[in-house]
Amino acid sequence: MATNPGTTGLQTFALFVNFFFPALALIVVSTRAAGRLATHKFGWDDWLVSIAMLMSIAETVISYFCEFRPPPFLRCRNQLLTAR
Amino acid sequence: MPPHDPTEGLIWQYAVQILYNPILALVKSSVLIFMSRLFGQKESVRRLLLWLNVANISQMVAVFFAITLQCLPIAFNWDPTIRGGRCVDRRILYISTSAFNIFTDLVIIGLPLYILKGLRIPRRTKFALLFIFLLGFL
Repeated sequence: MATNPGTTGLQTFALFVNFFFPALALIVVSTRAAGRLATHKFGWDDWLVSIAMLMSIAETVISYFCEFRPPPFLRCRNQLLTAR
Repeated sequence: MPPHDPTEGLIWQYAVQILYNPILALVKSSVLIFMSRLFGQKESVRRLLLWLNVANISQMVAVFFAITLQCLPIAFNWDPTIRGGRCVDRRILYISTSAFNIFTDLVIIGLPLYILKGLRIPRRTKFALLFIFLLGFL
């Protein structure tokens, strides 16, 4: 990919959203999990939300990798193809 | 300058789409189980939460397949040159899944209000609890 759309304010905002909200969620989820572990009450709801958190992190990384990274690093397709 | 090649972006976008809905559904399922841990003493409330969760999980499975198989063959998602490839009407697919998601969101945010209404506790405590639950709007 050679076309560089340039950094617009919107792109910066998108990056902020992409990382800020998962980070907020991560803080809340880990605090909660820590509390539940400390009191030996880690249950189904904690498992589900932890799995969701991991998937959400994966989603954040994927969104960053191929939609926001600057052009010289955009090699995700090759990486994907060689990984299979 | 070579022309912009969107293929790689499209592949990852497909992956993100597949991930997105199960995340939402798992979070909702977690909230529902959490609520039945809190308010589960009442049989009627527990049954309501259970049925909502069944609906939620069914929606997760249905939307997962709808999104995964939105285009056939799957490579048609990022390679529109494949002959004979076809997709569902994506506008309808996205709008309807979003509508369902928003609907279950609202139901789940509204549930504590409904449950708290029937609770016999001091008013101040009730408002404090209400505030805590409504933080979920974030």
